[in-house]
Amino acid sequence: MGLLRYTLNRFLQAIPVMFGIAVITFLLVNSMPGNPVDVMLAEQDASPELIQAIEERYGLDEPLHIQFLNYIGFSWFLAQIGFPGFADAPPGLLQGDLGLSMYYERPVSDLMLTRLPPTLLLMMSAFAFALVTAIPLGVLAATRRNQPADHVSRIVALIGVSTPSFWIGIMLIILFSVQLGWLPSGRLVYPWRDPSHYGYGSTLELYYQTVRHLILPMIALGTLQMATIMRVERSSMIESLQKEYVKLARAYGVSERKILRKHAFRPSQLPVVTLVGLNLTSAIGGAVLIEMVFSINGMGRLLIQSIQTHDYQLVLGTTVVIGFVFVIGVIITDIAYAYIDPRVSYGEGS
Amino acid sequence: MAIGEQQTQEDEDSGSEFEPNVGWRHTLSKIKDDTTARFGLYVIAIVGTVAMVTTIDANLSTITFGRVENFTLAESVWYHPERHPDPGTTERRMPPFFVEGGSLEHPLGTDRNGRDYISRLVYGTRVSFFVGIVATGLGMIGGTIVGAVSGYYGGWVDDVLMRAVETLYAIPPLVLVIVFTVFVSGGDPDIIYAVFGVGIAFIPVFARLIRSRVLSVREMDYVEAARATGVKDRDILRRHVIPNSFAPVLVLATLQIGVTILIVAGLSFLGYGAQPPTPDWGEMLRISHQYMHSNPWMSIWPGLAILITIMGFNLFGDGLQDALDPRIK
Amino acid sequence: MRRLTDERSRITRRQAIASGAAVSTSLFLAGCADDAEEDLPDDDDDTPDVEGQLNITQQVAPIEWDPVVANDAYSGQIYHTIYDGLYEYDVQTVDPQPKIAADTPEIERDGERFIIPLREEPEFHDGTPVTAEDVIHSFTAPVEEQTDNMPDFDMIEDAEAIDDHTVQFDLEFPYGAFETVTLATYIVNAEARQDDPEAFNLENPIGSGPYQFDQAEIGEFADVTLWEDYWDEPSQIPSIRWEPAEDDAGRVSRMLARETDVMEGIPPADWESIEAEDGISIEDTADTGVFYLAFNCQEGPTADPDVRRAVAYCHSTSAFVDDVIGEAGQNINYPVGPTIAEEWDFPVDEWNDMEYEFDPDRAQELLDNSDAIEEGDEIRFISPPDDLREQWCELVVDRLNEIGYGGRVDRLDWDTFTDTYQSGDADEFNVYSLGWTGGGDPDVYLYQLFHESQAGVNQGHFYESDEFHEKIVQARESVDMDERRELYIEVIEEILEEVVWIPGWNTLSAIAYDEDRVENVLPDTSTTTTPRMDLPDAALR
Repeated sequence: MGLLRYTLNRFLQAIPVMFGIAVITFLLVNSMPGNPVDVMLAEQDASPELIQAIEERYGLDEPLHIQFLNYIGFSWFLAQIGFPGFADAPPGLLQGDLGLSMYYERPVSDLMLTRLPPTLLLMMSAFAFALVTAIPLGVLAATRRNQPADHVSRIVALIGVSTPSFWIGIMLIILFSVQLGWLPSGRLVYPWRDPSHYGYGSTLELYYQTVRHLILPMIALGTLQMATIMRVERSSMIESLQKEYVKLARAYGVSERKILRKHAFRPSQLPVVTLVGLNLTSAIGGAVLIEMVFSINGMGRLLIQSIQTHDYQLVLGTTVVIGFVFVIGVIITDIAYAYIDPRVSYGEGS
Repeated sequence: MAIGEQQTQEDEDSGSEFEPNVGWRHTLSKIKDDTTARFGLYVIAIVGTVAMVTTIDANLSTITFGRVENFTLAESVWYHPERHPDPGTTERRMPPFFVEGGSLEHPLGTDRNGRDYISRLVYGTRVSFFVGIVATGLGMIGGTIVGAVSGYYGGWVDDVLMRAVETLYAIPPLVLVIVFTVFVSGGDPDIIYAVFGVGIAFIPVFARLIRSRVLSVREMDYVEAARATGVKDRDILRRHVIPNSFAPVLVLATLQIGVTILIVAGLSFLGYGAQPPTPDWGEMLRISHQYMHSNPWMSIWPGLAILITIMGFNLFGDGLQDALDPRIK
Repeated sequence: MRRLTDERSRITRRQAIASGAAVSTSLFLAGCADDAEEDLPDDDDDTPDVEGQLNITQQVAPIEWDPVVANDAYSGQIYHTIYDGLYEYDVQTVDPQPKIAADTPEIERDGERFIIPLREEPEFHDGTPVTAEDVIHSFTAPVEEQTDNMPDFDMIEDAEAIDDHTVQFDLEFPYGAFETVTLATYIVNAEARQDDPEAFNLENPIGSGPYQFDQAEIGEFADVTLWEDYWDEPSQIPSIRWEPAEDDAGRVSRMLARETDVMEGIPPADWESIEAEDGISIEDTADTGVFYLAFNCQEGPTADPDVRRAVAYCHSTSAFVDDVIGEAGQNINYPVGPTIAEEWDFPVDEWNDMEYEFDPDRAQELLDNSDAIEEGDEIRFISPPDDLREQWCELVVDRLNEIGYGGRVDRLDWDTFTDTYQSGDADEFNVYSLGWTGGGDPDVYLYQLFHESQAGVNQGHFYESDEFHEKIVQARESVDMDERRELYIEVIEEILEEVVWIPGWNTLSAIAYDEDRVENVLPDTSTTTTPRMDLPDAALR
């Protein structure tokens, strides 16, 4: 089976999971007692017509199971084939429609489009930071096992996995923004905007500012990832270095550098790739907190704001999209794994 | 398998290294030789003792992390962690003693209401420690049941359960716990919802591990033999599979306690964890965050407390892992 | 006009959140402020300014631009530059002056009919003139569409255009605050709005104000640009950008690092250090707000006035306010804004002396003697997600614990909070803590927050007594100032004696600004118009 078919296959396998995410979030959000319309109209003596109009607008006038079918967009298909009772069902998840946010009075999918990119930018830079620092450190620790360099990197890793990322963020802000004033304490500068929006003269300056604004949140979010990756890198390198073929190569007088590069390094990266995939959940969770600490308008902040305002559709939408991001991220790492590891026969997934 | 399939394979690999008869005693003796693991154990012991003593002191009936009413011990030795000074007697948000404006009377200063910071830190241990253990325990129990059933029966049961587990796994624990806490509580969040939320969020990790153990144990000769002699499935699970999986589960649980504490601190930081006036580290960070300019010290201490506690569990967990799985050291 | 929204400050979902953060002003620190900020860089090169653009940092993100629909103070800060009011308050007063209107209203039928002449010159941004039809639409649409602002207009029985530039309103009853409050309503372009209400609200609002809406991204920024053909005296600032920074510490950082020119919402804790910073100044003015604890007078232990008195005795509100709010506000022991109290010459000193002193023994005695509460019983406080109010509840609860009676504070999200206090259910709450930004008339406080018709709507104390509610209505429907004043004094004294509320404090409306960049930008009495951006002398350097 080719890589393409493998990829396709993985996406197919992810469908039940994505469906499951929608079910779980839908149930959770609806476990809240009370009717969202009451919440919206908190203090008004609204007329029955108004209540009905609002219920209709947000699709709350249906029983729960129908609401769910509407939400995922199944009703819409039924409507297309003229199934009785679903005549004017709205488009749903399957059609890319996530409903209407009650608080913002805008389509949830519009909000996602502006909020997802900052989160992705943050997460990708955090992982980049983690990989760039963790891999060399892990290799160094493995080759200098039980020497000072190893001890230091292990201590760093230990502290990294034990510290709340948002606290690292707060400490960085206190140190670098409040006390030293070197770096901005929050918000991002988006590289996809026009420089003139920020009053910058050139694209180069825009990118420079993007980086400056990104440094602190990136470190705060990336530290945990760095620590876990470093641990795995180290143990996996040690394991590789103990393999028979490495010993053999050494016996033949192949230089250490070459052994490291040619024989030990590449196979050691497989567990790291897996780890990156699995760590996506903790990274997304961390991003929620980091976005709050650094006032970054991403998915995490949107989620918290939607929870604070009990904006049902938006909570649903953000959670579902966050779940999807994770699933897709895992698929990507799986594909990367298959690509790196020649031994994976693409079929074994199922 | 969809998500994390390699991880499962890894688990299986390492799982097969555990021999059924590597004794508990053997593990302990190994830990005794491992300085870092011992250090971790000491940290846990100290934090645990503090949590225990303060809980008993705060009120025996509030082990459910509910409201704290009495602080006899703290009051006789130190300061009442919830007592506000009489109007005009103590400064609010005092810095620690080594900074100008601080005093040894409140070594780490006072909080926004003029309450002694150290005693609030000490009493805050309870929430993190017990929520960490209880919530992880719930996840462990739930995960063990799901994983055992899934691995043992196989077939469609396995398929359905594993899909469910994957789904649960795909929602980041913090997100799941926030949504759970806020919506299931009907908008009136309490730490007890967080305990269950974390418990549910951790089912997947434990279920996966147990399932892979079950799969490997099930194929072993003595289990085959037991089955041939007519021992019931349930008994096989109980007598052979689960005891054999105990050690790796314990390692995982120890490490997950650290993760739980992180999650709960994050939850409290967002305002959905412990409710005032209960002293809690995450809650203290939430409040002190607003005083980053006027008193940055307030943000430092609760974070350090969290760091040290989690480090204890991680050191001990790593030590256990090394003892059980001696391949890499 | 602009005032409407927060004048009434109804606790709808959005307003509530807004007012939450408005007050999430944290606390003022007595003496521990350190000098950290001095190390912050002064205006350095990496915070360039868009040419000719004033940058304002808001404490909450605005969401919509149609005053018929919008109901939060932070959207108001932006759209008050886009629209003109029929009347507008002079800066830092609650004194309405004609704007679109040509003159003061002609009042007939004992205050039930208002006839208002309109100016001929005002034009909307699309070039069409402002007519009587636009005015009528602006006053009737909130009721017709049942928007959040409906309660501000539902006393209007009929609105009629006598000619293109004269409007006549008929009221259901002589409403005392119609002239001082309701007439200050923003005028929208009726035709454009009816064409596509949603686009009007979110993308293309059209008013006749000094600025035109440019573009906005929710949670990121909102831009307006100067309208060249403004009919009245124009402003001098070419364009304005608002950016939200909901987090107190983050907002202060932005100001101290000069990433913004003006900031509203100064946390009391940071007041001193901002003031001490070179090149940054604070401007403040009296506000119309009042923060309070209200008791569930209908059910549970707090239905007993002695329990309520005990809660008042067990802590010192004034000490708390002095310590925590400090320069950012003042302690008041009456349920109307201090500016109103001054205007009406209420006996405020006398009322302030009526405060219950810190006396835990007296509190304990009252509780011990009350049948409504047993030792160890919990008094349940609910607080919105706002640090100051939560802190106040926490203080009272801890004090109750100290004298052997339990308590707990539940910090609830706004929606749940509103639902809970409106329920009046003693199992859910005994005390709630809330704030209210009223307007130019005591009615806006006393009717909205104490009358029985508002029970389960604006108030959750459900307080009942013989003539109390009659007096409030009598005062509302009277045009005799002296009679109203007497009635209000009686009502307020009953509130204080029976401890329906423990009034807490009033915060100042304040802005901090970069002296090198900004001139004559002023805070207004209302958050909705702070800073006041439609004044001709405000300038950018």
